[in-house]
Amino acid sequence: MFRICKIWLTLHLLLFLSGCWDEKTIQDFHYITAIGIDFKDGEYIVYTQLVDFAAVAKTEAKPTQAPPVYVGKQKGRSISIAINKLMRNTQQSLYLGHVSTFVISENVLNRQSTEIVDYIYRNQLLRYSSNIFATKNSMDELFSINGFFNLSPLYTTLYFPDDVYRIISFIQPITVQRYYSDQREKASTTILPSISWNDKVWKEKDKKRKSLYMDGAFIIYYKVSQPWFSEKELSGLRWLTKRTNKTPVNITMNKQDIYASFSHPAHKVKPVLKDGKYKFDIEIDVSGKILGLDTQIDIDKIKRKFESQIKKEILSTFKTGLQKNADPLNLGKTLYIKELKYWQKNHLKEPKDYLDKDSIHDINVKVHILNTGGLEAKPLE
Amino acid sequence: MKKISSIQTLSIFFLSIGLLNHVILIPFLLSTGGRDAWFFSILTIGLIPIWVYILSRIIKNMDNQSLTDWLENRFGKHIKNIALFFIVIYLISLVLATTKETIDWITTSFLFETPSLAIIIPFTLLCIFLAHSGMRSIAICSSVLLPIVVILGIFVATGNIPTKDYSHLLPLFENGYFHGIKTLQYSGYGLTELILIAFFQEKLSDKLKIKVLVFLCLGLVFLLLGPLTAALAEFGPSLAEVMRYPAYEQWRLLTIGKYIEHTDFFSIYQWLAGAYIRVSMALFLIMEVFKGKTNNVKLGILFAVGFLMVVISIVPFSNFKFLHISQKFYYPGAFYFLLLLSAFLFIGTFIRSKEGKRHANETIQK
Repeated sequence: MFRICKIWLTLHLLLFLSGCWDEKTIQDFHYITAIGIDFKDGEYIVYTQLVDFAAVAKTEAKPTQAPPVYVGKQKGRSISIAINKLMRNTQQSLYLGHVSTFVISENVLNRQSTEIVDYIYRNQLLRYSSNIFATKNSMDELFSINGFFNLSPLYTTLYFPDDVYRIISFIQPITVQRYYSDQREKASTTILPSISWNDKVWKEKDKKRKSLYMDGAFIIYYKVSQPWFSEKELSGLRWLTKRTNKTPVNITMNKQDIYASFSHPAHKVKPVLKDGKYKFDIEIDVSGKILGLDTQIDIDKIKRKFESQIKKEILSTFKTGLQKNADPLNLGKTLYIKELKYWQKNHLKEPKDYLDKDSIHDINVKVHILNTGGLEAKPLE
Repeated sequence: MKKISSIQTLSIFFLSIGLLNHVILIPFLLSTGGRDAWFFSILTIGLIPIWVYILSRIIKNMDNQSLTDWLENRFGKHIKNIALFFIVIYLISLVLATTKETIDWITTSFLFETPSLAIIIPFTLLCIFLAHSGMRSIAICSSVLLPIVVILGIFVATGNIPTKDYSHLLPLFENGYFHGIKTLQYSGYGLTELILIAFFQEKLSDKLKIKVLVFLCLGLVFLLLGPLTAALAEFGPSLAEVMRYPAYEQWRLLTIGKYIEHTDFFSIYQWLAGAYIRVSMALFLIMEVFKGKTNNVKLGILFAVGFLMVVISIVPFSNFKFLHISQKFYYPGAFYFLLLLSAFLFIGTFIRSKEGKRHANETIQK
């Protein structure tokens, strides 16, 4: 009796646990890989990038022609309405579970609505480990750029921004999860990288090749301001970013260039009370190696020059931020965490409430030169 | 009679209360306490010595008698029946709340199109089968299930480290010092449920040492703190507060390198292992209350509760209403009930047993 019961139970499990209802056959779907969201005239415009399933995996044989990329575009009063319109017009059903990049336009950023976060977090198929970018360009163009060597768009900066960031770290790419968790934090600034393209750098025979790159970032102070900064204006930011992996710095001494690459800066921000207002002490400790040395100078002097260069970059980023009522160095977050009472008592709300041109009290940079590359610490004769 | 060891008891509780502390209670803690929740959860560590003292005194005093016998000896038949009645009600509610939570999670997170019946019937049958096989089977089952659950837990905790930013844990007390104090009723609930040890202590082969109990309590608090701080560090307080399944969302976040993602199916194993042991244990303890009855009566009771499990998961009672009720009424209520029950049992340890009295009289007469 018991044995029959057991066999029956096992059969039962075999039948039911294989989940026939939710089974999905992979060739029956169109996979959306990127979603772009724009806003115009009271309506959201949603762009989706569909990549041919066969072009997803890298294969041994090189593709001889560029893989087809479809860009869908629909309008709607909400994101879901627009996406539903897109779904009505596909030939196989659309699958959202593999979206790995979101791109939002400047207009959407300026609206500061909660709709996108609501859409992404409520949907049980979308992932917050996806990348998120802002853009000033048109999404049509962004989404139609293929990877190099006829690879699909999945092998571009749009999908793997970390690959480039790791070798030249300026603006840290972020995921949806980090973007929204930082953005909703009181007194915090979120840095949302912006993506753009040009066709001036690479050529294929005589044809210009389009390539994607990060050109700057929007510095978002939730519900207050979201100005755009170019990569150069943000050069001070990399010294306050833990993930900075390799970042180049150039200095000029004796009319000769000295070039070094730095990595993993340690930083410390300390608010200090001066005349009833908090100012900030910033400490940076960074090590790097010299990769270009054309002139014979004492290493200590070079170090000092690098230190003052880094200091200059931080100050200039701070000052540009000040003009636009932004706090790119995220000083507000430290102040809020360490001096909560002061923050609440003075009803501080936006960067200009707690920052002015003298807010940086002291910047203390320490540079360590680990080595001078494959050559000794003197220029070639 | 075959008995179970302390280690097996540990694994039973790490799975059954683990599901509670690690998963079910996290959204309540976050939505009542916000950022301060983790701080108040740490405070519960301070209560562990008192709680362990009470527990060990009760277990020692029960001295291998079953709960029903012990209650009758101390309080007499009437009070025993009343106490058992409330205990059974509590155990049934535990079974139903766990089942409802599990099935809701499955249907809102990944099996959108599968009818709930197809999920709930096998689950109920398995639980009844395990409960009917006895405490030793539950113990063996949980010692088999637990190691993989632990390995997966370590996997998701360490794999997510790059996405965590622990600065979200500060500043504390944004909304006053006592804003999060209500979270204590949730963070304490997992610990108070340890009183269930008293319901089956006679099945233990060795004495539960104080060391083991302290380890168990610390482990449970640690299980609570892990996903709680991780949810705050990953999503920030404002998003973590409104998430329905913060612990599960952490699995959805996990990516390793470029090509490994979508690992959340592992969480199904973890959750179901916990729910399976939790429900089976409660079903078994319900059966224990009806100890003297025949096998058929016991089976009937099991199937009756099983029927309730099926009913509760298919009635169209929406998830957010269930969330509201369990957060506002059920879990705090269960917490206070268990506190009362523990106090009641603790008082019982001071009453001299009737058998003991008789025994004492006999020796005096001799």
